[in-house]
Amino acid sequence: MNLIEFLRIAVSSIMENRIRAFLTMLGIMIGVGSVILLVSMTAGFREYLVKQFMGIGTNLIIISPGKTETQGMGHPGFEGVQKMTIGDTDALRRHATALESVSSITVGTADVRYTNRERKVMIVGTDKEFTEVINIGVDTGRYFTRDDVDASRRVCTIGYTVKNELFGSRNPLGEIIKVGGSGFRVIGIMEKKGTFMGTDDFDDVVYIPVSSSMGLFNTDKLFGIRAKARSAAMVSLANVQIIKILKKRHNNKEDFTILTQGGLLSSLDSILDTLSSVLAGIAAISLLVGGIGIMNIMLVTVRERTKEIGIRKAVGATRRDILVQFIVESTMLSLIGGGIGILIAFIGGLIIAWFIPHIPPVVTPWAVVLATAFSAGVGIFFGVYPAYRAAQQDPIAALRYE
Amino acid sequence: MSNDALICLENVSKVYGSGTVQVDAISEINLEISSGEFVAILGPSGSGKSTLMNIIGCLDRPSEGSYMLDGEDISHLSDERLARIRNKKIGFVFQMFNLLSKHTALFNVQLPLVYSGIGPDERREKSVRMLKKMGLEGRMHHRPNELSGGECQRVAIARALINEPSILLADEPTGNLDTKTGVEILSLFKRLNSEEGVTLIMITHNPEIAEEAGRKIFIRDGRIVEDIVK
Repeated sequence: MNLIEFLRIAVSSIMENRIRAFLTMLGIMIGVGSVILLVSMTAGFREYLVKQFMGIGTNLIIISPGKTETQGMGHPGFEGVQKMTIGDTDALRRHATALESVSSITVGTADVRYTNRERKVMIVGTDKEFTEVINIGVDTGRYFTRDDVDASRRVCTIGYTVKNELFGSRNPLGEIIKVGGSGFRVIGIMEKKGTFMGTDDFDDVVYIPVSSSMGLFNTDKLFGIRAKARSAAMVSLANVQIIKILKKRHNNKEDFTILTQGGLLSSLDSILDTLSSVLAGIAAISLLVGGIGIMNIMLVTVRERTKEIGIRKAVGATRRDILVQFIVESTMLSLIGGGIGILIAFIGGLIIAWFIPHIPPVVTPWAVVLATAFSAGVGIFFGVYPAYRAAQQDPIAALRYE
Repeated sequence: MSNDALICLENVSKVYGSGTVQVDAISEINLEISSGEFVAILGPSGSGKSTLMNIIGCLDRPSEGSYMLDGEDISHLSDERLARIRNKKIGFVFQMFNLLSKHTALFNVQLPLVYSGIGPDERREKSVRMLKKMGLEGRMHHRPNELSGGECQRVAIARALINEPSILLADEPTGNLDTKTGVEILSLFKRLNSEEGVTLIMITHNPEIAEEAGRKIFIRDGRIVEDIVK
């Protein structure tokens, strides 16, 4: 007997018991649907994070003071940590050939006031290169120049939120705002950047020259250095150069931490991979339950069809014929269930994309392939025992069965 | 014993159960049936006639003795081989018809051909011809519950004959039919035997029906007690 005959028998048997077949498939449908949907949601989340990360800048390198990695030696303490200064930035600019641009960063908060309006905002002290390293520019007006920084001029550019809160519809260019008591002239308004991962509002910031910020906060310590490698391929070379240059300036101590976008992404990926596997694993349990459901129904079906098995055997069906017939039937049930599950995942994905438009689930082909293979496997695995029971039936007893 | 007999049973016994609880269903049966015979097997219930029929029909194997069917020793064949022989050489007709209740008459008749590996078109064509021969032209697409008892039995006979078997085995084929229909079915059997040379073995406990057969074999307590050839 060939496979087509078996498929024909399975189809007619499933069509005879549509409601039962549907209920049998339900477990597989839900299992496959939720596996694909959860994997797709994590994939969508990853894509969103990557976009956010890449949106900050390309080939970005973040250098922070202090060593946070200890490699099993215990916390090194901060005694040996030397502060990071503008001198470090200059050294990198001069010697790190793999870097395209380097920018100093200081961060603080201060009350910003214009006439009678006041707001506590983040004050970022930086330099001209900042706009080259980070994907941000001015919307109207201009950004500060090297001269502004060198001369510690009291100029600033303001984020979109700050502009709205302090000036409303008025034009802020040329106006003087009080930042922590000192007057700064507004020379530019930054482009609207929105929030990053839903936390920091990039638009609720006032940017001032790094030299001015050091005067304002009375420190010569940098929050960190942001740099941009010349190309993605030069990121690792840049890493080596930064370590060498900074170590030389820091009494040969590596008292700083370098993070690259690639490094951040790969640690993000490993977190998401784990999350994805855990979620898929939980969803796979429902596939298992679905498989047991199939076995259950198939056992009932075999008993119910004892007479049919007897008749088929009497007219010449071999054990193998009966075995294959029932395995094909359970596999078909499982595959149809899996197919409907994939459909459910797609529709669910569309619904989620409609509700959360900025993190749409991404249906990955391998999840679909895997779920289909898994559901076929479930059908075969859980179909074998009932089919074996059917095949082993004694035709004489089966014919007598009422 | 001659070797050209279609069925040749030699010292065939069948024991059910094992260990201390053993039941001899049939013991030391010696029987030869030639091609083209019409044999009635008679006996009270529990005499072993069904066991004998199951062995002849290759649904069961003898515990002891040998069974030659068409020159082939089948007493020790595997289940798979027995299934092939049932498919090719034996047609069953049962008292309870044993049709697949959810399928049409046409599908039921085709069933043995499915297991012979014959394609759908040929299967259908053959089955239609057979059903016509049984006078069921108009009933081909009916299911068993839409057919009368006599029609069901004729579908069953069509199914039994579809693979042109060597033997037609009928177990109380009229037992579930009214007298008039029973007579009709019996004359159909007789016609198949006399006109087409089908070897017919019929189990019955009705002496009147047995009268129609060319040979009567009486079984009691698992043994042949009488073998009368007309």
